[in-house]
Amino acid sequence: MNVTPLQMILPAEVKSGPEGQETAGVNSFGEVLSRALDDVNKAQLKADETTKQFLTGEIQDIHQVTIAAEEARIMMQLAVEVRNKVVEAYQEMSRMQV
Amino acid sequence: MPLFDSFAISSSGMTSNRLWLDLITNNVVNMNTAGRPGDPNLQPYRRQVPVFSEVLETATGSVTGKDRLKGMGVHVPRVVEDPADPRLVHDPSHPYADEDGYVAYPNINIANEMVNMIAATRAYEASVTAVNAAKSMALKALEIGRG
Repeated sequence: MNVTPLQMILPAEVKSGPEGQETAGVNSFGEVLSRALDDVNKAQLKADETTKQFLTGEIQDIHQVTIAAEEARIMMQLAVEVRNKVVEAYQEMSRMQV
Repeated sequence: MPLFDSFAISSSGMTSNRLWLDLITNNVVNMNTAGRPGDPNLQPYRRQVPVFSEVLETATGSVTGKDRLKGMGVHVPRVVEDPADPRLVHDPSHPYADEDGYVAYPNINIANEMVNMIAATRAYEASVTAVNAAKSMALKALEIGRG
């Protein structure tokens, strides 16, 4: 029986994201994290601002307020999820046997 | 953020459908806004209809040509008046009646307006459903790797 070797099925090279990004060291983990947190904060501020504008009558559409609030909520949940992963990784490290 | 594009698109749909409902309501309440036939100073109310139009993403950088632009929702660029003739009703006692006793009532059919109202409400609901679908997709993505 003719058995195909595994290398022929797999793609020649599995690329993990854009090249040179990690080696360049421009986007360190801290920078990425702080930028993401900044975005989350902006979404919260936008939701606040939209609510204020609705209450003062600048925006007449209810759905704009609820959608901004939903966006802020989802981004916050994403941030919490990332935080959970980071804490999990840290705990995994601290449980390591020395 | 691309995830929230569908939110923005649905939001534009909701805004347009709310505007449509505004116009329908205005048509309904102005059903009896009569005028004098043939008098340009005393025109009856004319039924107003929105013109929906697609919103395309503004071309940035590498994107060229209309076929490569991404649809980013709907908007109402203008509101047009229904060109149909006004309805003539014989009512000589009406202050706007002409010499023959006819009054021009708006070209509005209440049944049509009610059906359009249902359509606008359902279209708005469809946008809300799309928002909820996008939201549940995003929240499902957050469940990856949990548990």
